Amino acid sequence: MRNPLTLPTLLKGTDVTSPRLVARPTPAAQRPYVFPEVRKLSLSGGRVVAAHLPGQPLAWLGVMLGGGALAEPAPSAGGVALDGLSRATVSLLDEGTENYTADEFGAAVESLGGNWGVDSGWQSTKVTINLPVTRATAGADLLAEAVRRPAFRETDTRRFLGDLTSAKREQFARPGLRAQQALRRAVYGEQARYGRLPGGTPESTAALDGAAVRAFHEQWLRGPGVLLVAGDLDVIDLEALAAVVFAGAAADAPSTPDGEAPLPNQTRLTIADRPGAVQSTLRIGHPVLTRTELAASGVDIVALRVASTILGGSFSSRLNHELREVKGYTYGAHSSFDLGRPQGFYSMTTEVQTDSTVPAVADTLRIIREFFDGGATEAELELTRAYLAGATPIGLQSPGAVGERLIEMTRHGLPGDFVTAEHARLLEVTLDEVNTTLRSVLRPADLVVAVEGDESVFGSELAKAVREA
Amino acid sequence: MERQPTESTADGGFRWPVDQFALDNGLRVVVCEDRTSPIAGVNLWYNVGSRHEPAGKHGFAHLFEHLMFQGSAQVGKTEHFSVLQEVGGSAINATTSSDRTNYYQTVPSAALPTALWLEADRMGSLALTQENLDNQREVVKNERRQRYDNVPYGRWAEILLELAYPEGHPYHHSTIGSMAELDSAEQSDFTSFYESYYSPDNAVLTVVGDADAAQVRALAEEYFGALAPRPRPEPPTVAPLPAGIDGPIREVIEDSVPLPRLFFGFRATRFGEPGSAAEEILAAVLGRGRGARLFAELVTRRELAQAEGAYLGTWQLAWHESLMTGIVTPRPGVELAELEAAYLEVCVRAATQAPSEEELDRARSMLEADWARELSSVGSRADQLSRHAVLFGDAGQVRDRLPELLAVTAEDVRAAAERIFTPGNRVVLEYRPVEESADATDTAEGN
Repeated sequence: MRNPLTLPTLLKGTDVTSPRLVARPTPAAQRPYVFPEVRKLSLSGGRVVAAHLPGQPLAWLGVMLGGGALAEPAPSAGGVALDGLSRATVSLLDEGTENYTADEFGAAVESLGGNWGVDSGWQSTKVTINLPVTRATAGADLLAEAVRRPAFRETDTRRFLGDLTSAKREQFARPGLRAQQALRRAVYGEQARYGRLPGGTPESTAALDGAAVRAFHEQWLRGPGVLLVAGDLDVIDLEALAAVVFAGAAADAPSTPDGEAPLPNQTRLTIADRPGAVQSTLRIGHPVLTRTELAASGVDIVALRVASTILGGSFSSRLNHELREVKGYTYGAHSSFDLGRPQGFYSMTTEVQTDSTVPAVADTLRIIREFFDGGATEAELELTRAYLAGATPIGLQSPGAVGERLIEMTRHGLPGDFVTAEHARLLEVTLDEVNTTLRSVLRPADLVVAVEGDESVFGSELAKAVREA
Repeated sequence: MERQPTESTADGGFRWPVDQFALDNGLRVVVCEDRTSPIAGVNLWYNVGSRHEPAGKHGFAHLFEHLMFQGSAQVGKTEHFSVLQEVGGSAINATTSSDRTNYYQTVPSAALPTALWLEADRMGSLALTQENLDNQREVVKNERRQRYDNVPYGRWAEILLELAYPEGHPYHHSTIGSMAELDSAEQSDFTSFYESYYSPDNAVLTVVGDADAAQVRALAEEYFGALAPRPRPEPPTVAPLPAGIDGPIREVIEDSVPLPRLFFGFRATRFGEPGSAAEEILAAVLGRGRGARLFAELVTRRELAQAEGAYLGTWQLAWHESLMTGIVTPRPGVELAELEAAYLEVCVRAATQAPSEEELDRARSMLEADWARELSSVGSRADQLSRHAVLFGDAGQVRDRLPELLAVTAEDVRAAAERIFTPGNRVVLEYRPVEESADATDTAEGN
């Protein structure tokens, strides 16, 4: 039993209720972590990447295909860009197939207890289902039905795209997308596909039609893709799953082109005006290399992850601590490095009350600059090392979370034990490595500031603050 | 057709042991050992929510939740998160609802003592300073702006509660509260709130994961054992509400929203009372997912409404009459009145047309898989155990949750529809878009 402390002597001026508290314990070392066993197989003419989760009652199945926003057709002269076509097409895969109407298909997924998911990035698309492991075979049948036998009937595409246009209008009325749009436009220019939003706008969505969807599917989404599985492989029959998922796939699919380079001379500040907004949405960032390129140039990915977490990746990060806990400008502030293909991006995001817009932007730029100049401290490294080490097993409890790591593994061609290896590396990374890495990737002078908010309140002062930062 | 028992229904879908005990100071402790991973979910439910707030002090329970992260006798301001992070903890947060306030974190099991020490330190002492109050009041006001005032339709639930519950009822006001009342908050409000409700005998501590009952008992005794229970005011007596809202009540809101939209509110059964499970199945049959009646009728067949994931949901409020709410958005060119009539027609028809076996099976499969997902992480499993311990005095009743849902019959669902969808039991909120945004000050100040 530890000695109880008498509180009033500890903390003057504080309202203290209990007379007896116990001193802080010294924690024991965390147990080592090993990522689930990964099996990479070639079955039924396709690639399978599967993680074994013994005893797990739920399973996650996914098919990763090509396409993506960079595969979308360039607009003809004077024509409207079909931005969002990739996402719309992959979303329409389950809206009616050869053997199911759209409603029948949805009800079939739901009758398995399944959650259906789709995703479309810059260079790939994903279709996933999360369901009880005992239903995995039936789930794979539905994945195959959607991926290999979509119908794209005119009634379904018209209804779906109409709803999507309305949904886009609503998304654009919420803060966030217009700031993101302004940031991409400032960095890459509006002519570049990369300078626009991957999911498109209300206008580009309204220009989509069934013919464009069918053509996109035909060209980009008919290849075998990769089957990803996270679940109890003693229960799941991978060969049977692969047989249904790869049946009827085209031999190959073209690879999606890379995007355009950033503009040589970027504006430092861009504003999406939103009169009357009570908060301003900040998106501040700059492009970075991809994970593969960084690793090839000698950048330590684990050291970068530590630096990123210290700057903006947790509640006690420098950005959240100062902007929320010290200044009270915001409900939360975050920043992170997206190292995805074909280009990476560093970005900071927050929503601040309108009359704090100028100091919040100035503080953000100062905090990032100070972090770059002064680097992380030993105490920050130790805290973050422990936090990230603990977060690995805590964050990987569900098959879906394991599945996300399989996607990352597949996108970047990483070995099956990369999570385990990164976890081990985390325990030995040094402060010098963290600071050297952050200085080789973060570029405070190149940050572009995008603000969505009421320009009449902060316009000229903000420009001055960004100039002087 | 008789439903085949599956492995998951044999143990109520909850396949882990549950141990429960109480300390001498009244703190109840629940332990659920699970050695799958070297981690432990730590969850505390305090039996206090916005339903305890007196008039003029709305939003104080939630603001208090923020203050719980601002330090205590042995924890400096803003150190709370870093104390947990430096031992590998994450998924650290707290939420306030009208019913309760929960605090949670997941830690490597080696750090379980640290998590319990930290929770005990803020239960036994708290740095209720003016500085913390001023700073967190600003954070909460920004939370309000971000979630309610700066987003289209952001205030719908707040308005619906005011219309669905009478003035002075514990569920009449929202948890976030009003800007003006938050501004009037003083330090002494929070001292008395803390004294009244953050007492060991008003809380349940749950640990799920890589720890056993003996170990948790020893740690709980060590860290919480010396904290003294404190008296609480008797909760005011709240007269039961009539079975239905005395409606129909309608409110039209002209606002800068992108599309017209209807929100519905229906008085419903308290969570855990007979009939509430049937209402959950009813909501799924009518309003959740692609196989739901509202989707088939309004979206596919009549092309009146936008596709949504859910059109109807239950709030599962546990201390007084609960609420079922609906949402629907018209397709361009569709009159709101036509859509509203069609929506309500599907609902009312359920009072005469019981679900088919296929419809029931779909709803059960969705809810059964939801439950498996809910229990699959130690953090949310701990929250469910705390919930059942607080509401029913027995965390073990978590095992009854899924069997109750699966036992609902077609006739139960029909009867629930007959009870819920009466002409008077209804609030309708109608959002109409206007070109100009509302006056910014009005929006920011709320009411």
